Amino acid sequence: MNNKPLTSHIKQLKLLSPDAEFHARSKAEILGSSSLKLFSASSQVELIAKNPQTTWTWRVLALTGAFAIFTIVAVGVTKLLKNETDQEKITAASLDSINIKEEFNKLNINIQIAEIKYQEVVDQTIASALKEVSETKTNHLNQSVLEKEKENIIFNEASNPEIDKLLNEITL
Amino acid sequence: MQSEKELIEKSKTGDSGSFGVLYDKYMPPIYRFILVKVGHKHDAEDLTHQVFLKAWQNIGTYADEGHPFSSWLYKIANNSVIDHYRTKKTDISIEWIPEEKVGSNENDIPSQVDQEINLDKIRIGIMKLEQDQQSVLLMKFVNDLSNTEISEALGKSEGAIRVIQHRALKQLKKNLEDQGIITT
Repeated sequence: MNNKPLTSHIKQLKLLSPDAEFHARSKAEILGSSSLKLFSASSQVELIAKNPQTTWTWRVLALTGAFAIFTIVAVGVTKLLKNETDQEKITAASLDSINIKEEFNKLNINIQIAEIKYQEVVDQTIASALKEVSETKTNHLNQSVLEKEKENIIFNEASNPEIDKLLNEITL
Repeated sequence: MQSEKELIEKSKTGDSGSFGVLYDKYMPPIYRFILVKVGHKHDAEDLTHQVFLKAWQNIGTYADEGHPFSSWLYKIANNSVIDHYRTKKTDISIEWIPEEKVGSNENDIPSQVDQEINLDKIRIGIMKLEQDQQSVLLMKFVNDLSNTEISEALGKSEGAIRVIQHRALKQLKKNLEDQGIITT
């Protein structure tokens, strides 16, 4: 043993060989899997289950990275769609507000027009009244109407003497 | 009989039978390489399985162009062992040697035990070397790889491989002397 060359000691390790059962089982499992580089969930779970220490291999990192990228893209698309929806809402609201403003403006105009017309009527009425007064014409004081009203007025009732006085002036 | 090149080309097309032939040829030396390095039978089986699973799944990425297929496999195996070291301490124990794999004379139990002990001491002597030194000695003297194949597998020049081999043998000799396996 001691006179053997050093390399012959190393070569004794050639005696080592795998179990036949392991050889057959491993071969069948590997050849039964796809030859494509697919990171199937089942194969990953199996690998990780067999070797927990490979959790931090690049395959797991690649899966995590792919998931992170997918999440970022999904969030970005969602935000983009949300922004578009918000834009549509804002646009719709703006249009609505524009319509409302237009209607309001129209309404204001209509009110103003009505007020103007009313004012014109009032002015005309006042003007005619003043004209009649200035001309001391009391055509509006229809004598027959006054006589009828006089009949309705009860002078003997207790009332304000000043009112009585005014009434007398009107009727006389 | 198909050449290795033909088997590889067929494997790339998904021919599992061709890859099976390659598996039968290379699995035992890869297993041996990994077993000595990690020191545990079940770990060695798992890692060996992973190596060939990766090889089968990535056979399409292998390009000959002067790079031996064996070197490609050993590169995968070496990386797997490095990953294994990162997460699990290597256990130096005598249980790494399957009882039925040592010795041809099953009736001679004492010599079988002696052989197991010797193998374990040799392994311990190798495990005390640096990683590259271990790899060079195992690839060259246990699995009979050429310096070209070893340089491809480890990503070093052939000159560097020769230097590593020389230093590894020198240190291993000292280690085995310390264990009483060899005397000066």
